[in-house]
Amino acid sequence: MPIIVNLDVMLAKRKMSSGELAEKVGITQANLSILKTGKAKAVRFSTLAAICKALNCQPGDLLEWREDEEDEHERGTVS
Amino acid sequence: MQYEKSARVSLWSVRLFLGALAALLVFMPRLIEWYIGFRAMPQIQGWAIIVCFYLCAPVVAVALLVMHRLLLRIVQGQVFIHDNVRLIRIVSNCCALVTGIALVGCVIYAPLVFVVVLMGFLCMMVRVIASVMAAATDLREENDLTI
Repeated sequence: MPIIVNLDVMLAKRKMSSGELAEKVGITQANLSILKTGKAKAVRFSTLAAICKALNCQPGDLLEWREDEEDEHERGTVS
Repeated sequence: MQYEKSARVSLWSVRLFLGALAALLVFMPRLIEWYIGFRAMPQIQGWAIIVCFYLCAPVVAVALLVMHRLLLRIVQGQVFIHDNVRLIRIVSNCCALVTGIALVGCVIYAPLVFVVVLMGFLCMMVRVIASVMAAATDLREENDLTI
């Protein structure tokens, strides 16, 4: 999945635990873990807004696009 | 839940069918003997019906047992899972097998063509249901991974 969720970085910056964040956002720790480990297929805007509010950050601080190897091969940038 | 009640009723129907199949396995030869006498038909046609029945019986038993397992899972709340799709495809394959057996049998006893048509249609219908379930299972998985 080319979208990386940098939750660990923001949690460390704000000195907050996953459990605290899950409680503030209103999702289960299991779901937060799915988000952190990159297994999520989609994120609702409402969830993203709640996470940004809890961590006092912007969506761009949490989400990063990284080209994956398949796309690089298609573009011919990786031999 | 409503679907649970419906699944339980279906579960009992499947069990009744299994019981009926077991009874037919015992009484089929006598039934055919009576039918041959009643219709005054050639012995070979009676044999064709008996052979078709005993070839189809294990296939039907497998289909009924698979349906039983599927319904038990539905009652437990496990509806949209990949294994259920596999079970539905097994039922469809059983219908296809019965269609094939009846097709061979109708060469000797023509009225078996009704079984061929009915089971062929049922096979197609169950395949469509399997495809719908597969799509629903994928959607549910995607939804489960939407935070």
